[in-house]
Amino acid sequence: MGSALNIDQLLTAVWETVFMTFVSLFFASLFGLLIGILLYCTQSDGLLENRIINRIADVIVNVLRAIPFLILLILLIPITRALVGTMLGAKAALPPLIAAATPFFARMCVIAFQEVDKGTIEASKAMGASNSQIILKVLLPESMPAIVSGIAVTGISLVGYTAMAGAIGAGGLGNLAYMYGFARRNNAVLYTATVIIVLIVFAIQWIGDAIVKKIDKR
Amino acid sequence: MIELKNVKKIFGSREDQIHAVNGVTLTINDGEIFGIIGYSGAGKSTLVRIINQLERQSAGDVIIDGRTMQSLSKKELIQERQSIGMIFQHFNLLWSRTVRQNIELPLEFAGVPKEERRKRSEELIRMVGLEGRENAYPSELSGGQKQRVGIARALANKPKILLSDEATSALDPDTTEQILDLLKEINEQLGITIVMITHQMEVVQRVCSRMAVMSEGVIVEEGTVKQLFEHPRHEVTKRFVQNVDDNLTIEELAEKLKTRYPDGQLLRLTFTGNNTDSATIANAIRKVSFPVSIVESNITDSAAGAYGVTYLHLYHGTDEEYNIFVESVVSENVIVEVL
Repeated sequence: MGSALNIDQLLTAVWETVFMTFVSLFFASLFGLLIGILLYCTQSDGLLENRIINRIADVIVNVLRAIPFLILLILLIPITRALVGTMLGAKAALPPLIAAATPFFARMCVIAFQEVDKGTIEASKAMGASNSQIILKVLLPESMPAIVSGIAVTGISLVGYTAMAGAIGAGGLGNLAYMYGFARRNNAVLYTATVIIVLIVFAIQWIGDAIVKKIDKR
Repeated sequence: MIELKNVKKIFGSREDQIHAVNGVTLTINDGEIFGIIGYSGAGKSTLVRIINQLERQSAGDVIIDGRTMQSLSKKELIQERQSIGMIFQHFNLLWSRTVRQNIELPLEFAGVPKEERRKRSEELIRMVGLEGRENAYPSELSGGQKQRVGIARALANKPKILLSDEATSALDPDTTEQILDLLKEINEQLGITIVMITHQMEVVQRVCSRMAVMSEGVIVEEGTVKQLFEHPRHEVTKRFVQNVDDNLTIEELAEKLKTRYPDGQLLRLTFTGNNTDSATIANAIRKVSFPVSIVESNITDSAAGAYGVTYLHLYHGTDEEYNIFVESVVSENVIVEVL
């Protein structure tokens, strides 16, 4: 029974957690932003008002958000197998992580867009902007601080999700803390893993805040 | 030329309809500054948004230079809008862009190449007097400066029409005057047609040549500013032209003043811009020996002369002396009414 901390093991776990968090954060941000734009534009009085598309997207987002992550992990096993070829390891955790974080972030994007001054959208229309120009040159830049905050919050949630995914075989610090720290009663491992997870969360928050501060000219 | 023909706009559901604009027919000529004045809820903001089709009318035609706006394709409408600038009460600048970047935004929409954009924004920054502030963000500007950016932005694509939706309502009186003078200058230099929506009489007095008074979705009176000052017919026009207090009708104001000043004589002087000597009241006072006090006034100086209404209270004099005073004022082309 290893009472001492295995550095290699720890570094691998850190890397797995960072990998899972940031790869899934990247895709969740991308997909979430697109779904957020879809939701915002199709809502009533939106740029491309479409009640049917809006309802469908809204329901999908709400259902995905309502499913607890642990259950989502299990439900998505067939899809994960099909996509990644296995249901073990850090890569296998990506589909459920992305599936869980995307609707969460999409909702935050919609809130960010709704905070954009309607007057600037109206002014852009009056200037003769097309819808895509309004989205790219007005909506996104004007909502960027809220979107960056949203990415940070989503990233922090993802760190938590990776720990849960780790407990059922995805690796990472959650797995380390659970399998080696808790199950084998190695407190050194348990506390070290916890401290590192907290540090990763702080780092994400700190980077997010710093970027927001830099880009927000209001 | 902007032609509105029986334009209507109905908001709301079938059961709960609001006729924001209820049959407006109006012609605005090229190169003029046309004022549309009305209280809030009169439908004037909706009307101006129908001109550039930010709002689509429920009925009627909007024709600009012979082109029927509501029948344009999406692409044609985008092009047409690039030749119609618009400025707003709350400026509607992008906080994320600097002064220069805000001004270049409509040029980016129009696909103007970078170098040309830069050249044009330089010109506009000079025109609106914002040299040295081109790299500032809107949050670093005063209200007047923000509206200057708004004006420069609206002029970027060299429009033939400028729509102004309460553009001075959020500004203090001094800044309002500066912005109005800038708009007047732009109108004279570029020959651009300006449509001004406002609830402030001094805006119309200062810059407009013709005006329409709007109330409850319809135009109740229309004419040159001078005509409407000299012969206001509709009650709403009278309130704008003669009143100094938005909350009272003319009659109510007269009653209020009569109770406050039961003795002596109360006069309403209407200045309609053709009095040559601005010292009209002072000149009349010199001819009499009784005291005169100005009780209410809303005079605005404009290039054409003084416009507005002044209420005077004369007391401790004889009727004969009062007549001397009145004659002196009347001789300077000011309309006098005894209350």
